[in-house]
Amino acid sequence: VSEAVLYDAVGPRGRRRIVAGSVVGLLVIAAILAVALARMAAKGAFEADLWRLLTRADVQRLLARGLAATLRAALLAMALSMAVGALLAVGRLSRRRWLARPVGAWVELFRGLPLLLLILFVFLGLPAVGVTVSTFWALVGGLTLYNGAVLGEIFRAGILSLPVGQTEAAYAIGLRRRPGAAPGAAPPGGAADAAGSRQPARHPPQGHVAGVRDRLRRAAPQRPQRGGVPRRPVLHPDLHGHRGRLHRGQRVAVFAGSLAGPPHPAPLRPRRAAQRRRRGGLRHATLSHLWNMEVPIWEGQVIPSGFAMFA
Amino acid sequence: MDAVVDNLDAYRQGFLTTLALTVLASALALALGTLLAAIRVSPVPTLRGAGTAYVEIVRNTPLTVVFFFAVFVLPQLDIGLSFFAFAVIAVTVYHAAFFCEAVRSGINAVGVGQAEAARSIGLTFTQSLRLVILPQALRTVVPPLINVMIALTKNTSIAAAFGVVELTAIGTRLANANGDAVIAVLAGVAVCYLVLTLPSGWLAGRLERRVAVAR
Repeated sequence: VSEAVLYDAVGPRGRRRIVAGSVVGLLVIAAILAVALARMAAKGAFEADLWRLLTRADVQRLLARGLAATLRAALLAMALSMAVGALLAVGRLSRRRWLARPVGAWVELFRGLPLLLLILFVFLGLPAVGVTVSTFWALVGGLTLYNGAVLGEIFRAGILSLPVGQTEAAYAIGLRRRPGAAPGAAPPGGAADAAGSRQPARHPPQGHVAGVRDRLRRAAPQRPQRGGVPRRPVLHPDLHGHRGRLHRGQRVAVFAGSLAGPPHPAPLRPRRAAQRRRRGGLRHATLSHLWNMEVPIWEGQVIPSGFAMFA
Repeated sequence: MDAVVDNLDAYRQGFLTTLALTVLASALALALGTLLAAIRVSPVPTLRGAGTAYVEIVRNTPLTVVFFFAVFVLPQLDIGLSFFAFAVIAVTVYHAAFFCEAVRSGINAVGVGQAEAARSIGLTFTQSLRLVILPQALRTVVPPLINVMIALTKNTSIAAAFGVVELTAIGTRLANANGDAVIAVLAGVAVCYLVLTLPSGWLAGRLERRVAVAR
């Protein structure tokens, strides 16, 4: 409910009551404050000598040093815990159980402990095993352990909250789950089609492009240039009527609505995956690429004609 | 390991103190937070402003500073209480703001039709909030409320620095006394905290999924 539904607009009588009540309330608060201040004054809390401390140069320097140290620790811990959090999020989302389970346990452990205890752990525990830590690094370490776990969960929630269509679209244009996993040039099902099609062609639009793709691959350098994606524009045979050159970093919209095959590509057999890795390919598709749907194009990429693209 | 086994009694004491602090402060903060949420949606602008000011000020203050005020300023006002009571006050005051925001998000999540129906059968603001809106709102925000409680449980560790002998204080004392078993001693403390926080976390997750299905 937005708040305005809960009550009617206040009439003149109500307004008078509100004003009266507010005045009385403020007077009561003022009275409490006055009593508090009077008691503090009686105890000498406002003696000038007590406050003159703040005007001393050495005290001011001390405060400034403290502020600087706070900022330094906060910035360092922020940067470190963001990195740790990203790794933890990806690790926990992994399909490999031997990775996802321990990472999940790690996250739950450090999310469930007080920050103060973690700082103590670093500060008192590390010297016990022979590593000396300064108070500053104990603070940064504790903050990183705790906030890394918390941020990991936040990142994971962010990734999970993306519509499934984003993932499906990414798979559809041949991206792999892992950014570094060298996708080769195969959209889902494409590998089987290109390898002589032992299975019946479930993806007719891709089937007829397969030959063209082979020609493109022969023409293309086997290894991508530095940076993973060839700079040369790619001729693409059939892009839903869009014939033309696609450049690296070109904005591409992909609609996975007409995806005919299974949403996730079947896991590759190890030998096959190694072959692909050797062959090279896209190496730098990142999360931001998926979010913006700004998908780099590389040689030989096949996009099923059911997917629309635009420049 | 001996250091842990020999001091099980101290651990129990610390655990019970932490538990008491958590339960007392949670109950008080939930009550205060719900009241604040009601104030923040009330028709009286002064109250709304006061509620907003409270939440914004408290949420942007470190808990340690709230503790400083409770432990060092309240005695100046001739309010003499035990360290435990000061800790309850500080933790309550701090987390009430977070409970308030959770409850308020629940109020905002209740369908407009519910409020309109309540108003149309002649319920006043207080009645419609108490009988129609809040019961539904509180039910939808049970998982976030549990998350605030978990945070509260962990934050009671700050009380260790302000004279309350709870788990973390026990941990530092034992760690200082048993220099050769620091990690075991602290691991014991960690287990005690996890006994409190992990089940709550799982409960929140389960309830969250149930709510997600119901919607």
